[in-house]
Amino acid sequence: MAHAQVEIIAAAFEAATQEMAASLVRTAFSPNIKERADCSTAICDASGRALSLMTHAPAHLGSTLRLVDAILKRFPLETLGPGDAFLANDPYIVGVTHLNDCTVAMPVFHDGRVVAFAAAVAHHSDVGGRVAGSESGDNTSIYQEGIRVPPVQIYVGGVQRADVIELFLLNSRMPHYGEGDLMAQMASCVRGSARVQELFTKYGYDTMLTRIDEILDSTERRIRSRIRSELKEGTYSAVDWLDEDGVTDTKVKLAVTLTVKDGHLTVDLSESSRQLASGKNVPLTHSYATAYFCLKSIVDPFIPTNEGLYRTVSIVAPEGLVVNPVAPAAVSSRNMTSMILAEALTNALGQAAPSRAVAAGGPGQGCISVGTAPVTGRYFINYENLAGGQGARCTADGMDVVMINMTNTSNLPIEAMELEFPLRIERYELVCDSGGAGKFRGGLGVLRDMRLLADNASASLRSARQRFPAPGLAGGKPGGLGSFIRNPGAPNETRLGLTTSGTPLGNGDVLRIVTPGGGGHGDPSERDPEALKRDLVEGKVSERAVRELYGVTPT
Amino acid sequence: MSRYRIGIDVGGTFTDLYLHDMETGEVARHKLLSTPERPHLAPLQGIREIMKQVGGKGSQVAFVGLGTTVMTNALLERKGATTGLITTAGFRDLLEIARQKRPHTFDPFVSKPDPLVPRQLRVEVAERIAADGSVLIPLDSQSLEQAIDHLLNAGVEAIAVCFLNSYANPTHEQQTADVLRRRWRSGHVAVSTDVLPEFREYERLSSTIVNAYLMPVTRGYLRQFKAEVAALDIPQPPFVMNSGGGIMTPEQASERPIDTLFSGPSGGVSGAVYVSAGAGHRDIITFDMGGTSTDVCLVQDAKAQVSHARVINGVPLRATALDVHTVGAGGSSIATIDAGGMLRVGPHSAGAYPGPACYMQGGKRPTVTDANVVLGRLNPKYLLGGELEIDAERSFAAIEEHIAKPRNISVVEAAASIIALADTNMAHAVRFVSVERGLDPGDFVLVAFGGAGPVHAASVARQLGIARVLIPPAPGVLCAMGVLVKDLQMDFSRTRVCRERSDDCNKLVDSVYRELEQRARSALANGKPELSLTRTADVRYVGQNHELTVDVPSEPFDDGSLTAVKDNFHAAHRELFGYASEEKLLELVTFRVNARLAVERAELAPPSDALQERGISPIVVRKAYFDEAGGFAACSVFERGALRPSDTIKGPAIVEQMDATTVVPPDFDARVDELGNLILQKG
Repeated sequence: MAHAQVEIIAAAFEAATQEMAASLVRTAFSPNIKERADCSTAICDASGRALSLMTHAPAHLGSTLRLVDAILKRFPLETLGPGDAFLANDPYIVGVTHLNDCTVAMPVFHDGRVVAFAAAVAHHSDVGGRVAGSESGDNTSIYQEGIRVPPVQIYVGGVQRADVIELFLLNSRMPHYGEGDLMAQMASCVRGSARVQELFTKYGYDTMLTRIDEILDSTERRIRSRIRSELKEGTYSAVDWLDEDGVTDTKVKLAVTLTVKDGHLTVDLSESSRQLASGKNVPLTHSYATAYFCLKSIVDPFIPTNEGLYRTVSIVAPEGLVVNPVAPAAVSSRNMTSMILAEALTNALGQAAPSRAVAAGGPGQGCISVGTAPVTGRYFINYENLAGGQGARCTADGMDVVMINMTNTSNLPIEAMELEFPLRIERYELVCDSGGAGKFRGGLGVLRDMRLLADNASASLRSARQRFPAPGLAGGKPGGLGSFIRNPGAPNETRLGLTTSGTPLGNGDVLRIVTPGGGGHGDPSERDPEALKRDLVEGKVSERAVRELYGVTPT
Repeated sequence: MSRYRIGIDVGGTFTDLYLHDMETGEVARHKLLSTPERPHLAPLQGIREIMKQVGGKGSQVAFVGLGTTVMTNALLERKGATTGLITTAGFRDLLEIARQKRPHTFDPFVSKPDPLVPRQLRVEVAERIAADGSVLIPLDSQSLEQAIDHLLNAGVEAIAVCFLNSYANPTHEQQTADVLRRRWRSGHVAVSTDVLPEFREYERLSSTIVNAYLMPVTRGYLRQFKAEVAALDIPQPPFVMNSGGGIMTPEQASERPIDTLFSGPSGGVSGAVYVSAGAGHRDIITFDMGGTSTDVCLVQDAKAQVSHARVINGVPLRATALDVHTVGAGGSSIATIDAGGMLRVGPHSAGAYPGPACYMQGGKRPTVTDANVVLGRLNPKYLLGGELEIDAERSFAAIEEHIAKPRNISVVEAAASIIALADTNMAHAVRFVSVERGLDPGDFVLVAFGGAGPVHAASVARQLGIARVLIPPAPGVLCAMGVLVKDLQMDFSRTRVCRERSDDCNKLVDSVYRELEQRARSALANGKPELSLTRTADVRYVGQNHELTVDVPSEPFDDGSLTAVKDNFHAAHRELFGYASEEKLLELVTFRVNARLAVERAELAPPSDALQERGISPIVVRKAYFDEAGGFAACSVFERGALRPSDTIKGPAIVEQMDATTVVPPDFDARVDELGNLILQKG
């Protein structure tokens, strides 16, 4: 008799994607995958339903939504053979969220037929395009964002298609990373494929198909039941703003009307801005990933990610909106926009579940610095994202300096950067008073000064909350604003743009990045005096703020 | 006259002792309650009691080794010293900025731990070293004096010193330490380049602070213990177990408490390696399953893998430790039906208190232990050899209410499902550890210990294609035994990034190793020749950001050594990742020396009983459930203490002893080997 067979098979799928992810992170070449784990791994069934998806990067939650479909449209099932593998990266075709997210997928064979696909998605450091690193908020079309790859075959029957791989790598500024990462993705898929084959061999084809349906149904039941118990039925609206569209000074509206009914979420984004003439558009699959993320984090953080979860969310967004752009709209910088979308959604979900409410936070500010090392003449790209502060939670202060929402990547060790790149970090510290005042205080942002010691150096910058701060919740005050400043305190001090590419920096210039803080939660006058005293002693809140925002005379 | 060797393992709840009489080869074991408020008391009381048990005198004791979780608990419970930090101007917040990640990606309500040093006790001094070791800003003595004034006025008990890029040039840190030692003779000072001269500032900073934070507690505890051991007429001072599988003197441990933090799990692994290697099994996976967690470690050729990076409750540490992987599941893991109707085992645990429902301490939720009780695998009346009375009815009721009824299945089916899923989860964890190293678990022997390990080991082994399971004679006091088989050992390291084919690469590497070995000699051997030194290096491809540790031949370092390093690296990379890029240039990043000084010891002798086949009879027969038997089957229950070498048992059977229960499923046989280990073999 078979006990807990569904559970055991579900656990096996999860273990398989975990193993794939561990393998990918450990074998990859680029710091972006190795240090930041900007990748995901998945097992899908032969019809493309996600059976398990493992990621540390929420932006990847929908990374396989259209993958298998796109492959099969070009390579019918009956033409596939063991040892085949595919590469794709086009957001409009395969539904990954920008061209950097190169995806390798491999059909899994059992008894001569395809029973599943193993997929590994990894953010490649450079896929060509207008700027180094390929991502830029001020790109005006996807053609500026790198090479577009529809599903192409990179392995046929276990033999590498060297021509296709060369074509792909030839379009990258960092081909040595690209190649290493691609091989790591292959190794990851081979491993996932083996695990799935073992399962089909052990339990047989028919049993597996039944069990797979049961696994997906059970996840769906679980999330529906959690939605019913955690969220009050009704319709909730929230609006948040992206500072500007990346090309003009116009602000971008992210508007959510959330309807919770019968254990289902309908997310209506129709009132959001039209699609932008910049790289800040969010492909529809990424809007879905944002919704899955918010649902998970507010309602059931530990639920497994598979098709069952996906079934409980529908998005209403006509084509041509910033949250559902049409080709050839640029999308490389979609993450900052999706951050603000996530804030609006979290706000709406918080209205439906006040015991899980979280105020808006300060998203990380992006900086890609490039240049040439004076001594060696070597070209470098330093890709960074510096965290702001988390919004206050309805039960606790927001955390200081953490990545929020759609990303949770680390900073690079200063000593590793100074060893590798011609630059020096001169200050890296918390920003006093950047956390929004409240009964629970918003998390603080940081300030970091970086001196460039390179020739021909420049920086591409991405930001949010440099004009519109993270709003507070339930009477809490907004968080501090972010900023980019060249040569602070010097006579030639310059405030830099909110979205730039290739802003020149002279050898010896300092680039200051200030990240935004989180909004507060609740009336500041209700803040626990002990907590306020600790903030003052620690220098996280100034005497002036204590007086003016909290209405308390410091002792 | 020196005939007794005593190993002690101080845990949070119990203190275990293991005594070996070198004259007769006999062993004695003892268990007593720990004394967390005055931690040196329990081990001393234990020494007195076990000496009484064997009728010996303190003057006859040749060796006392102490494994202790006192420092680990001080860190977990935040009971260390008020600690201050002196650091580079502009960087006092590095400790809080950390790696800027939130602890749980999907749950915004999970918070980061508070920093060990609050912001007002983190002070900056003007100084700056560049990545190449050159001085950009000289150390400003006035700002240093002010920083020290500030911390001393604030009443700190320990001070950590960590400057940026100090790994490349420790001068400023050493100058700071000199000033501190002059102004603050009684103080505890931890300097980052002494604790960990490796790059990556946050991890070095965190490790240095943890070390400083624990120094006062450790010094007081070990000083007292050492004095009291001397007062028992024991001629030799005691040794302390470290995380890397060696022992150190109390003075060394007081300087480097960070090296003791994982000594508990490491002790178990050392004991397991020792008993298994003695029985001829050199490739093993240790499976130490307790109530709330399970530790797994992969051992090849009787050598446990070593790792350098660990995290303890959100605090990262870089210190040498055996590469033990901990899974948050054990006998007290709670089974639930989730909102989608799926059975889940864990991640919540009933812990030691209230514990499983059958413990009668108020626990109402069904646990893995309760499922074992319902299935007849654990004794339905008592555990721990009679010390813990249990109520099987409560296990039954808890599983019925929370699992069987909602699923509409029988209680037995529910219990069998819990065990099946728990075993699967364990097997995945063990497999993850082995495939991560590119190895097939089927090539290993599973060595099971801890209270719950021997219950589940056979089933986990079956799922992994492991043919053989070894249960040591005393699976509950393996750590205490592990202390007796260790050498004096310390690790030394330094980061100097050195690219292959750069002009002075060989010369630089050679000088770093000489310096490390010099440090090792003066720390351990006072120049004694019998010190054994092993070199390794952390190596990566240029452009990679993670290193692999590979063996380096002994001196002098020349082109031949470099070739050997390259070969080792490519081989290791291929084994771990399935490929190597031999055309790519390598970088040698961190250099390591492991120093080992053999401690005189007698080998543990096998029991003296003559080996002969004999009939053995069970103490009782009870029904136990096995899928392989199609349900409940009559199952012989044996008393472990009554088993002798060569005894064989056919499954299904159960072997009970004070500290563990071994389950032998129907498709397994068990045999006692010459050393008293129980070997379970798939039939």
